[in-house]
Amino acid sequence: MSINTKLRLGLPNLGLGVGLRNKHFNYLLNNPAGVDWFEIISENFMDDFGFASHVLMHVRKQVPVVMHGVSLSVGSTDPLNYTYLQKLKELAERVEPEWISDHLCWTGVAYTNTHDLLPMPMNEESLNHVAERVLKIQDFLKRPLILENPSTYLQFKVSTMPEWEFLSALAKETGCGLLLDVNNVFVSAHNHGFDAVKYIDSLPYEHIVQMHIAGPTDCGALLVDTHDQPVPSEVWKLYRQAQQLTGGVSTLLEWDAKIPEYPELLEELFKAREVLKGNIPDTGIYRSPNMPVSNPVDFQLQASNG
Amino acid sequence: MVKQDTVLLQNWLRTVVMALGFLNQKIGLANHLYQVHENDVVSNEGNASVHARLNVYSSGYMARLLDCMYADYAISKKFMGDELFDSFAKAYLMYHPSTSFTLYDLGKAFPDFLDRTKPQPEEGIDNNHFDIPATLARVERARQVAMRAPGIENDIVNTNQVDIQDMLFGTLNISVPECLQLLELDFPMKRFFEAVYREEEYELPSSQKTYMAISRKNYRLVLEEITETQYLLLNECRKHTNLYDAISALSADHNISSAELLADAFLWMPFFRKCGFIQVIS
Repeated sequence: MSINTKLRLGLPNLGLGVGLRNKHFNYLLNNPAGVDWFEIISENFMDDFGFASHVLMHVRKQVPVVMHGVSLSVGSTDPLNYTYLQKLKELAERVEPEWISDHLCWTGVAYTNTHDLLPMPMNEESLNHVAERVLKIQDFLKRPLILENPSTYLQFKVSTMPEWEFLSALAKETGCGLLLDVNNVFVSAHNHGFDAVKYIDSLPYEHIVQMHIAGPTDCGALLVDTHDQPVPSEVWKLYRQAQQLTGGVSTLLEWDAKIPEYPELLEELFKAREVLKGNIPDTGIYRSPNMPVSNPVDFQLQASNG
Repeated sequence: MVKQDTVLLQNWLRTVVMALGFLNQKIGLANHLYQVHENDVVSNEGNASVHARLNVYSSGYMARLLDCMYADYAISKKFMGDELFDSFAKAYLMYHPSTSFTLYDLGKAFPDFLDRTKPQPEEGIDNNHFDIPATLARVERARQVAMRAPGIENDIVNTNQVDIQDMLFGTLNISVPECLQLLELDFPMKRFFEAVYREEEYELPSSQKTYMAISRKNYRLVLEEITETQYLLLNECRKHTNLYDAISALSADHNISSAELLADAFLWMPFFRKCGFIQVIS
């Protein structure tokens, strides 16, 4: 596959979107989408021919859809799971998404799956490993893969480069796109003491296809990526910086636990328009004395329609 | 010093996340297996300790998967109570780590696990109720399968009344949707299941061989107790595209009069079709 140097890899700026979540299924069957696009969790719809799939195809008729995965495990040292990739491809044939994304992480090894987004060591060896797999995946899917920076809580001592350098090299070497999660940059910057502004400025902006915004939880020494709160001011500021750098890319509000009603969710999403005009909402970071669950899975679970 | 390549680091962290025990024990095991020390593996720059960082992944693992079990087995959890359910669910997750890319598969073997780990009955005491949690979980799992499997929602459904002539002359073509789940159970579960689901008063069911069909129609789940012959016929219908052939096969295998079966099937067809257990192909 030749390296695409067009802005956003030639992919469209879809505007403002939210994740398609079980909680809103009935609302969405009776009301217009109200957003420019939806992101789905790919694994939720693989081999699902029930109500969830029906709702997906209902909204798909109204607005574009993007497939976002959580089990590609692109960084794993296990062999690539072609059964998974085949399912991903079949789903893409059904849904016709604008693009397919996942995370720069590994979810398991030794044929187990932790269902978490685990951190990669950042060095030449791991970069070569991931780049080789990204190229194979792109060949299989016949489209560029879009990779998201995850929130991380530890760094390996063997790492020799910062995450932005790793992602930049990966994007340039493989032609993959980047899903810049500004909340994850904020969380990881806090947890590891790096400069979030520098991180964003250092990325190859022409590869940035999409952004995520979300609200984390402050647990004292660590920020945890809980996706269960409004977007705090600091994340909005990074979002504005990133949108200025890229000239505008598709934006998605992630809210995956304690999910509000749909109209409230859209209110939070539409703050993005004001942010681009320079009006940053005054929202603090939610603090919790307890350790919450990072990468919650509530949104991945089946909603009973019985 | 051991070379910390990506393979080693991933196996080390996987052990810290997935091994049994408290964090210190997990880290100890990982260090022992891979001949490293956590302070040589994880950077300790910043405010959080190495253990606090590892704890986010380690504690998150079990909490995340327990949430999944709560969603998949909400009715079993109501019946067993939070504490008892947690004990079994945690043990299940420890001995059945996920090997699938989808969380949908996570709880697949939970009914069998409950069956294998139920308390052993004491001699002379009727302890049949120890079998209820596994049976309830089996019904719950079948509902999930019925919820996701291909149904008949997108098919053009023939709603014409079945003509007895078509049945007799072998021209009634049928299909059984993939979402139909047929269960052979040791308790009558329908009323009990619905009572637990709705948080109503209930009596524990008494041991009795029963049969259940669960399907989906218009994206609604249908759960019905059926007779043994209905169970056998629906199972047979899966193997045939013609109702007469299914009846003939069942008659031959179980030595039941085919005339009797034809008469019964004629009466059952409206119920089967209404529930989405079977559909007639034009």
